[in-house]
Amino acid sequence: MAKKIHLLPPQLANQIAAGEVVERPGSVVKELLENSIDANAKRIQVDIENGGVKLMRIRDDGDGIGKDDLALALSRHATSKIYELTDLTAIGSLGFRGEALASIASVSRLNLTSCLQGESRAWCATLHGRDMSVNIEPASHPQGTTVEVRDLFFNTPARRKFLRTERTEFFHIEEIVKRIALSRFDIGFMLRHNQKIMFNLRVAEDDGAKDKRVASLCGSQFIKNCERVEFNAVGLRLWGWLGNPEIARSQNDLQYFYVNGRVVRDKLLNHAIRQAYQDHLYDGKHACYVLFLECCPETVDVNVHPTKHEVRFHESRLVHDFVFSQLQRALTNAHVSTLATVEIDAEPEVMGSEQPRNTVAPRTPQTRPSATAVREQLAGYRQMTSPAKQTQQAFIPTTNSDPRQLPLGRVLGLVLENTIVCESEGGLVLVDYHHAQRCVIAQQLLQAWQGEAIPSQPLLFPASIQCSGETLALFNKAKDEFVKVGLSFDQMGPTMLMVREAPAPLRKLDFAATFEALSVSLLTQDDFKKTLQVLAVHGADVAVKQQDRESLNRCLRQCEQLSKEVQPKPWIVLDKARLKELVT
Amino acid sequence: MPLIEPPTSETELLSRCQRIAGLSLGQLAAELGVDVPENLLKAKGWIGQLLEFTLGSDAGNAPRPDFTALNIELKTLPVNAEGVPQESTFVCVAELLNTAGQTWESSLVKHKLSRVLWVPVLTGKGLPVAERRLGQGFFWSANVEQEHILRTDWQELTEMIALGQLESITARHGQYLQIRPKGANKRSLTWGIDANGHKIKTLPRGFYLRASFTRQLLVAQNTSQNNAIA
Repeated sequence: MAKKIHLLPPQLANQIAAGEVVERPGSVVKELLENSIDANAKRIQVDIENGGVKLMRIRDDGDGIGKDDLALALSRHATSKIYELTDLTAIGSLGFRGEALASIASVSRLNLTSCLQGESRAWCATLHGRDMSVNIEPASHPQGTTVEVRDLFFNTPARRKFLRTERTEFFHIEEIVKRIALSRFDIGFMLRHNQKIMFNLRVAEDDGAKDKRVASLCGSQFIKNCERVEFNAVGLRLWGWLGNPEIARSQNDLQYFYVNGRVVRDKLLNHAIRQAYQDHLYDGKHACYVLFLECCPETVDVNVHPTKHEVRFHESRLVHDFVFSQLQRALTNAHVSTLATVEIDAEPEVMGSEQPRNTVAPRTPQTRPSATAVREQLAGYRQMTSPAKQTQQAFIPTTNSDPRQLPLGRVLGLVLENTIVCESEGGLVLVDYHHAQRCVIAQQLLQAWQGEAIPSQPLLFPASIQCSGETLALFNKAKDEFVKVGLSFDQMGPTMLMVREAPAPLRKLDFAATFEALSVSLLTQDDFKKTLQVLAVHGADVAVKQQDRESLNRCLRQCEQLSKEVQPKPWIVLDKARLKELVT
Repeated sequence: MPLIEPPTSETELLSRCQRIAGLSLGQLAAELGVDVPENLLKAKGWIGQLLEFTLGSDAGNAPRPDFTALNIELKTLPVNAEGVPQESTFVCVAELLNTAGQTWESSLVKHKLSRVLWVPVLTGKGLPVAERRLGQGFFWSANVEQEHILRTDWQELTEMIALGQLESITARHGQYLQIRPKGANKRSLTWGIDANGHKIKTLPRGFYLRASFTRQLLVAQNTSQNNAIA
């Protein structure tokens, strides 16, 4: 019996379309980035979590979408990019099919928040159910659009199975953002993965800044070994960076070609380039290049495939010959690149920990985001990037109180090699760091010796110690005492000891020197407590090498726990009266 | 030099490791009466052989686990003074031609990694071979999570090999496992398949465990010192 013919529900229809457009998280990022660019964004921020499977958030400061258009934006074959068939013959935008958002929305949990320029209010659209009805709510957002895509392929398990490891998926996303960032020097890009900034590119206006962006995306090796080229012919312009044959790679992963700003991987163009390089490259090596071909939009057809990697030129042979002959000439005449002197490290564009100001303040006034955007971004950057913030967090003791209320206060700094200067409510506190560590470790060891457990672990590299037979006998006699403080060793032959376990404060000891000192102590002292003191001194020698604020603070807090018997204390307090007396 | 009997249990093997942990390679070699090579460039794998001998490996050159009866693979792990692995660890050669029908379950990688005895070797820059020191060895098998990641890595890399994407495999692929060329030099070639399905001459490849992964293993083994202090 023949089955009835029926119309597909919108969600299913979109899911089928998604099969073509949304192959993996990277393709979502590509579509959304292209939308942002088509919306005249000046700065685009991409946040990825778990390789894009959990979250992809693309935020821009572009034109935005009005409330009335939001619902349409999420339906299929809806676009602002073309209006009639004649537009299709001269496409200037990256997207135009009007499929991306609807397709993505059908295979993920998508929400679209946007605010039009000049509007005071932003709106957020989400989709529901099989018929994909749109729900619109007020939201808060600076001018521009944010698209959040969560749980990609949550409703298409078959697709989900094709997802690779987080690492691989992110690798693809990074590659896509790179490709697009190389095509638009007039837009700032930031990419974060799991809250970590992968790169942050400012708008590049002059040639130097462009070189810098290329350097940070393609590596300094590339920019040092390439030619900056530019060729013009009637209706055609080819420009970019042409890698010298010497830096050819065994992978074809440094080949970027753009036609009218669109990333392409086109057979015709590849052929032209390979041919140009053929006399300069060994078999199996791949050239490196970043090239831009600009031509009249009417002479190129991009409506070939949904992913638009291929293009069709009206006069394909002319384009082929132009690319081939110009590049070949450039390679043959290759002279020492003038770009070799670009200073890449002078002001790093890839941001690790410094200079939030560079990324917050856009250069041109008209692209300045609203005050809230700046505040929001600032907060984000501070959190992400500022090292000061991290150390400040270390300041705050777990009790949540102001450390200045504690007896030894908070660390101001370490001066004169090993004196900690602190500020407390009582006044100024000076702590002898080495003495303090010695007291702390001595107390820990003493308590352990008196029966309190001390965590001890096997050493990754047991330390071998050469010593005389008599010394060995001394250590063997005291072995049980050492085991009590977590230090265990055994004899390996007539003149060798092997230290196998040590407690935390003694794990990084110089064991040879320490055991020599210990043997003297064992020989001359009857009281094992004195030997523990020797251990503590050596422990302190190692501990004072940790001079970060966290370690200093930890030492202060440990000092406050020292028992009353420890005298003299390793610190002095100069109260306000005393200070005044000293200086007047 | 008497041949050392293979260990009969993990406990026995571990106590053999314990006995030599902390010794320098020079000390161990002296104990066995063998010469220490000047450098390892021409004696690749000398450390491994020395250990195999000391611990009583019975595999010889045959492609079976180093301790046949116990099904345990011995791996040395060069680390620096901070205990951080310095290089990735070779697992096995990657099969480039007969990939059809291979599965993770039957793969050499899974087999090789089913039970591993890791022996850290303290290897500072420029430290003479004789002064490098042996660390405390430990056993490892992949837990569920590790095995999952190893399996997806393996599937992804094997798929790339099968589909002729050999040349586009970089050391960046794979989270724990990676594929790198393995060969004495660029002239030792083997057969592989290119993107068009043709047989080509290419460099032999091997599966390696990333240094970041072996570092995790070490950290898990020696819970980091900072935690112990805090």
